[in-house]
Amino acid sequence: MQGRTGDDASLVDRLRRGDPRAFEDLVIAYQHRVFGVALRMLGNRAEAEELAQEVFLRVHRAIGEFRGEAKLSTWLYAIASRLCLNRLASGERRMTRHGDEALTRLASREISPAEEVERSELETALHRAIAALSDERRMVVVLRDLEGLSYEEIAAALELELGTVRSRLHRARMDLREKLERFLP
Amino acid sequence: MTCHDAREQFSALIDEALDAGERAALDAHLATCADCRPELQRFRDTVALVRASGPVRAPAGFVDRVLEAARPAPWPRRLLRSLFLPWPVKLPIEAAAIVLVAVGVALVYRGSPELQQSALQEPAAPVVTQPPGGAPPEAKTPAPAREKADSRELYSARREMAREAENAKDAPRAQERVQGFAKEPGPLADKKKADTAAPAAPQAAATSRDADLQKAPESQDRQAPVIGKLDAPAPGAERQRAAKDNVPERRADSLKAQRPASAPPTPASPSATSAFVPPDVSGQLAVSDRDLALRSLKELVARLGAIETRRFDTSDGPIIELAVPRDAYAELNRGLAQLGRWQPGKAPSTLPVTIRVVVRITG
Repeated sequence: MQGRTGDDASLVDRLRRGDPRAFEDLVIAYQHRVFGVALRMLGNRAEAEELAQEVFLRVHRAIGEFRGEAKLSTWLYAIASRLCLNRLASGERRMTRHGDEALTRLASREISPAEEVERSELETALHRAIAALSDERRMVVVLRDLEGLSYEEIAAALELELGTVRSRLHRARMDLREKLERFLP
Repeated sequence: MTCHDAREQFSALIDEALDAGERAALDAHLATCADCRPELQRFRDTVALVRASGPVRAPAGFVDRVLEAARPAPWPRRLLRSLFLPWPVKLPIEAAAIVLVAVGVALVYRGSPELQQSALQEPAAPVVTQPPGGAPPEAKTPAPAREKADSRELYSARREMAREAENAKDAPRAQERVQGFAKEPGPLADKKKADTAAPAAPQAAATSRDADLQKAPESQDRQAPVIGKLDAPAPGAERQRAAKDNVPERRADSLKAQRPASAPPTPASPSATSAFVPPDVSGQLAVSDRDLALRSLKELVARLGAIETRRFDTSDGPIIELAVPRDAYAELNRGLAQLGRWQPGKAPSTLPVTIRVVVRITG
């Protein structure tokens, strides 16, 4: 996300001008990040895709409301995280977030079968540990350690104080440290 | 700095989010604390493990699906969507709204006797026969207007009867007249009465008596037994009024006492179920002796196997509704003609098995 500000600015301009290619470029540029947040928060690919699609449709409808005060990526993360947290809180979820599907498919990185076997236990434990975090703590860990946002960006996206981001992240990591104890060197 | 304080800052240390002072204090603690150094290392390893988790990629075709979904749908589909989607939210709301409206309509309908009457009467309205003699101008008004006039007429006539009976509760013939009265007076197609009886007589006594009437139970105004029993000859009325006005309680008591005696047997006739259906035939019977005519009519009715279904007394004279077997209708006409000047209205071309005849006795 870093260093894309210039690209974002021109993309936003094109979106506002109604350039038909601009929206496609936006989806191509951000699809993995938005989907990643959704998948890690919801734990289910179908649900994550549905939510990621909703994020982009909202951006499409509301691009006129984007003032450019924050980065475009922050705005996208803000929409995605709000939709995720709302859905998690709503109780209308069709599938549990601890589903096996999520755990086995979450690591979609290309790895060799041998490596996969070797890593599978750790991966499973890792994702289970992340999934066991409270929604708010998981969101901060996902944005910081998996999506690489800065504290400031997280604070802007989640509309939190910096201090809250910092303490929430620390609590989340402490939880994870406890759960992953046996995998630590 | 305690170990606890130091460990609280591990996260910020890893992210290089400590300011210079915090960083210096933490470094100083770590330099001297053998417990916190390995703890920091474990913390770093944990974060590294999490960060090593592979990146996630959106599924193939995701971009196309988003672009497709973002394309504006044709307007009929957009309209349907806006009406019904999301299903789980909007359908229950819409269903609830329909139920609410239905319940509201039902409540309004039940709470409005006028609506029920018109619903019952409207289909039958064209059957109404013309009153005898020269048809009064009101007879030409459209059916709904006539029904309204009927309601008003009934209301004022009931009140008038209630007053008269109060005044004459000890009148000699009151009990006798009570006997044949049916439960509820029906609407009367005869418009002439509405013009004359209803407004004229009550007006004079109305003012002082209205208050009393309102004190009495509401049913007094509405229910049939009261109306039946309250009938009394008009001449005695004026005499009694002054005395009665002083003793409202007595009136109420005597009303209660009279009620059982005056409750007539419910006639097993079509009118019991079709309370507001207009009669098939209505006519006027001009007689010289009203009481004699009433007695003779009673005998005639019994002889023909007919039933008196309702009686409705006005200061102008009683109005009696009969249910007459079709076979006996001709005989009834002959009998009525013997009692006085009988002017029946036009009968429908095809007579029902039981003919509802309204006789207004004047003179």
